[in-house]
Amino acid sequence: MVIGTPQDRGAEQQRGAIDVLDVSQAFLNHGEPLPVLDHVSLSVRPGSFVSLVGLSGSGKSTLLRLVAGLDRPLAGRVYVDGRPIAGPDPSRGLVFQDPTLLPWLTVAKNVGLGPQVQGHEADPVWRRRVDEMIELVGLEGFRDALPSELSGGMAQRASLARALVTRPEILLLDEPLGKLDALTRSALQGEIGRLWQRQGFTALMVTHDVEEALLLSDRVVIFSPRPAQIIADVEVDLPRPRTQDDSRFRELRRQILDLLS
Amino acid sequence: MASDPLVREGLTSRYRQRTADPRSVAACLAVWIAATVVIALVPDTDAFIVHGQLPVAVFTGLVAVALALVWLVARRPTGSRGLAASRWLGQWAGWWIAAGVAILLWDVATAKTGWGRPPYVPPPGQLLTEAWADKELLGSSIGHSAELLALGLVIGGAAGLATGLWMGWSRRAGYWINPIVKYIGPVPTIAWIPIVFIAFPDTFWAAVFLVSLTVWFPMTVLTNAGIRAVPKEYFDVCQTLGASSRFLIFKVSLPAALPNIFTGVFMALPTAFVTLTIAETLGVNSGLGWYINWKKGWSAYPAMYAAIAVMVVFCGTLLTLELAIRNHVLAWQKDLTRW
Repeated sequence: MVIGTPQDRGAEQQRGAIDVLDVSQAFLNHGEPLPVLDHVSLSVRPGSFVSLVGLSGSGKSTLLRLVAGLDRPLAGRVYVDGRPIAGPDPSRGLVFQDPTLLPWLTVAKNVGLGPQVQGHEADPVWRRRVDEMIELVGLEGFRDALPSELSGGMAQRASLARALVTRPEILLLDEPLGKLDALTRSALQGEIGRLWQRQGFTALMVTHDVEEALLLSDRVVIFSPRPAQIIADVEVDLPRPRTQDDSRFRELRRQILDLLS
Repeated sequence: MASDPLVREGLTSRYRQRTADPRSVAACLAVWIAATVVIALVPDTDAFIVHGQLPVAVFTGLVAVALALVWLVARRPTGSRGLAASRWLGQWAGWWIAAGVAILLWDVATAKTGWGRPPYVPPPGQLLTEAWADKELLGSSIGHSAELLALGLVIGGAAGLATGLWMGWSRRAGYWINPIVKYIGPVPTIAWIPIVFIAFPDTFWAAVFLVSLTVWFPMTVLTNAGIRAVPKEYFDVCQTLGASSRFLIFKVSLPAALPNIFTGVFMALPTAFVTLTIAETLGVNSGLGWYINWKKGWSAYPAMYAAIAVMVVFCGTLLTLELAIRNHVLAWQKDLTRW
């Protein structure tokens, strides 16, 4: 497995820059205001892979929802390619911790949800794309299976395929492997890396797993506990493919774990 | 794995199809032949006039012949037809034995000994012959009930579905409709009869309105509950894929709420039957409910019992049909309870 850096992949990908400017977000919790994000700013280069690491409830997922356009910040702004986000858009794909496949649709129909929503259901070009995507995540034998017949890892592969079939410029991953067993997780980490390299999207991933972040990312952004602020932004200066036994890898892991505790 | 003879044998014995058991099939045939012989040949009591022994004997004889034919097909369960017949016999032989015994005991207790004092407890043949003699009125009554019920189910079901969806989607609709549903819904529909029969120009549409109202309440409540229970993430994912609210309502909310909606129909059916019967008895001068009361008024007990039997079959079939459709449509649901 060889995963190149964005620079290696050339200038094919120029879109998908994320700029979070001085964003604050809060919720009402039993009538009390609960600040979640406190003046957070973050810039992500097009085509790079950035992980957000922090303790549970530190607002990382909240930030992801803002970039997805599912929520609006109370203060500050979020820009994609210099334009403020107006709402959810197919150019920004989303993968949750739960696969959230629609249980009454087959794998092929779930993966084809994006094209269907946009009215390309019958278009042969799109149908081929759906098929390609299903093959790419290794589910070609399960096209007509229902989500209830899939294992957790297979369901998450289908969910990845669904998010990527519309070729988004940005892929938002909210603890995508959080509920999987160690072996499946490791396999899917490789899978996500390959898909990122192949399709050239910008990836923004929330994770609890420091090793996962180090294996995949160009940068690891560390969040403080609530209300979240960015306490460190670590450049992962490791060549790909990466291994956990590398001394620099272990050094970076130690550094990040120290920052988290 | 299947090539291992030990494994294969173990699998076959563990998952053996419940095929016909020759002993229970024999018992089944014996019971129906005995019923035919007793009903046809044992002399009836002299204490009462007994009708219709011959048609019943013909009927039980035909059942015996039919069962024997099924057994002939099922005897060698090799082909798919033989296997299907064999499984059917294996599944239902118990009920056929019970039915044969019941009809035999019933006839003996009434026509043969007079113990049940016909016509208060008429023999089975008398139900058949009197229902047949009155087939036009009985048939039209069934037709009227079915028409009223169908209209009520369609109108009330559609209204309930629409109300539930609307409440689930619009906060303002919820604000205005929720109290109405809470206070109108639980009132027994029968309580509205005095108002409704005056308000509507004819009793048929008044009854349709009452049945619709009965169906509307559970359909509204359960559709609404189903819509609210749809995981928020489904909407998030579909929205990021570019879904319109139309798509979210009809292609996400509605299918996700289907399990609840089917429960709504399941709960609406029996209450619809109640309303239907009472409305027919009190105002609409047609339909099965009316027929039963009319026959009772004339002391025509066998026809009354026949109409009650028709009612049992009518309601039971509809409920079974609802559940069959539900099981088919919800086949995607994990751990679906199949009734």
